[in-house]
Amino acid sequence: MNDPIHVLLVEDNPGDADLTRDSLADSKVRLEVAVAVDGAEALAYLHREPPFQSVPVPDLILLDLNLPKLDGRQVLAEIRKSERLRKVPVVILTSSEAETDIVRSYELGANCYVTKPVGLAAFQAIVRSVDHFWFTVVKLP
Amino acid sequence: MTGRMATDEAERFRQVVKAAPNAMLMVGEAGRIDVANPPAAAMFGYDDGELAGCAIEVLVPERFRAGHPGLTAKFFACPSTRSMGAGSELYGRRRDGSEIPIEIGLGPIVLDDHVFVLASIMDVTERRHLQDWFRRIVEAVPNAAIVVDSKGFIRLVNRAAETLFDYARTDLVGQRVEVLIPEQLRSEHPNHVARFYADPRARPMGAGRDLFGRRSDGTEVPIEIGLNPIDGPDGRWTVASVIDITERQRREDELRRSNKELEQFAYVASHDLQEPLRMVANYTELLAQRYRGRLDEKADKYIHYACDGARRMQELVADLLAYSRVGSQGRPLVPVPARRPLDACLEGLQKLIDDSGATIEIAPLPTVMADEVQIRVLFQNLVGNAIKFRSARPPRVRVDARRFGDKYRFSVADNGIGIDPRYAVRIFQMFQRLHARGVYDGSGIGLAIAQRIVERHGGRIWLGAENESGTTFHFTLVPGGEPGWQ
Repeated sequence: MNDPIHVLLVEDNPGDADLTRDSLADSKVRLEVAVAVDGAEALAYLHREPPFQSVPVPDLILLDLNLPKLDGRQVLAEIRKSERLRKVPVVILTSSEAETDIVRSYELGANCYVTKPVGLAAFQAIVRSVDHFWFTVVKLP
Repeated sequence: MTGRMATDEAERFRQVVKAAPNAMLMVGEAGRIDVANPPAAAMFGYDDGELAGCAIEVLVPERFRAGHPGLTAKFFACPSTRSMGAGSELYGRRRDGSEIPIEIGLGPIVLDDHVFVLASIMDVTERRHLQDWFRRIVEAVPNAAIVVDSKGFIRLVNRAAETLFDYARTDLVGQRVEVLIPEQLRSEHPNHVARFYADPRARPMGAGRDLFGRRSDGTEVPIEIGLNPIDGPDGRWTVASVIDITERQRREDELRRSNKELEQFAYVASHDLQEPLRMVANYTELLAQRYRGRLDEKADKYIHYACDGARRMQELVADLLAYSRVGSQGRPLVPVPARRPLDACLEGLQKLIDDSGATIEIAPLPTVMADEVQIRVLFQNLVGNAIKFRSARPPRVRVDARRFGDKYRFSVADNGIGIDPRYAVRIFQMFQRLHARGVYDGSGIGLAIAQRIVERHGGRIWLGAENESGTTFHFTLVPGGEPGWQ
């Protein structure tokens, strides 16, 4: 069996985190999903600060924008500054539909911007299409 | 040489004065009456000839007598033709002690090397009476009234003006009107006055500007001023009617603030409700997905109710958010050809139009002052409703506009199921639906949003009464410059 694909999900809402994980569970590829509950924890994980010394560099980051402590925009800016993390694709997954958030995210180097839809079926469909596109269609570095 | 005559002519001149049809006096240098003609004697209640030789002061009210010889001497020192009293109100004393308002014209004449003054006297009782009448009318109006002459001097103020500007009228009459204007605006005021007199007609002052008056203690008070030119015996004057709008402004400010707070509340409430609501909706649906048919029938029903309720509440919250955004996210009004947002709206409704086989008929539409996005939403709600609430017939919708006073009145008419006129007001309230859920979907926010949009544009919207086989909505919008109809 191939190595699993490592996903870091940065999401402070445990309901959304579970739902995302749950929707990814049906993926055709083998996924390892880690969850960071705020921006500070996400950066600690990515910079391998204790207790995350031995975690792998993720193959994809799913990043919410509105997070406690450091918010998603700051996390994204940090990722793009880091030599080691720069090439990791980042998918913004947020409830914000504000034009300013969308533009700012792409300026900061997000690879795509997805809004959390209303309704379970729509949410599951979005996560599955992220799954399909990033883990089946595209080639990751 | 004017005024200089030979002796034989002096007597003839006296005869002329006596024969003059209006009241005339000829007074010598010593202030003695030389000739008082019969109309003059009659005016003051004397017999003909009785006044000759008397001191002129017999005709002067007692309270002015002491100062009068001095004035006479001054005139003889520098005789010239002029009216007496330079604008002040003069009175004559009749023989019986009563007083009459008079006007006096003075002219010097030299007879036999003596200087005389010829005084022509007019009884102005009637005119003073009219002036008093005018004054009493000005006094009686409840607003502050200030009468200003064409040179910008205050001629008359009423009690309300004294109170508003905190001056005694004696301190105002005769002053330039600029004393009532805040200092930083004074220099510009004569230009405004000149413009007013260039085109004098009744109108509110300072169209669109906030106006302030200056009180005697230097404080400023927000006011509204109506200007009315009036032509009188002394030329064209202006009556300025002034209203203190402090209280009105305070109430308006308060209303605006409370509206803003309400809007903010609606926005925050609906925005912040969305997130937890999404959780409820998602997880009840997940329950339904995973456990439908695995518990018992009752459980299925309960889950169904929970899901349905959560979904409906999501709709309401989303609608509430859309409603509150009409105010908070509105953009400035600019000239927009109304056809453009209508076309954009029809593009969005294309599927509904195709599916229902609707015919849309559009008359030429004018250019209006609009937030284009909101006008598109307005059309979307009205045209969408027109198609949604269709009868068995294929839907027909007609959009037209015509001039309606200083606005344009748009109409959206359909041949659908119609609306009972009893509900003409209720339909514009939030979340009011006239039909059971399931027959026609929607939460009942559409017309509330439509009304909010129209009102934000300075217009109004109402249900037309004339359409017997469907529904007509009318709304008004403000013209946006050139009347380009397309």
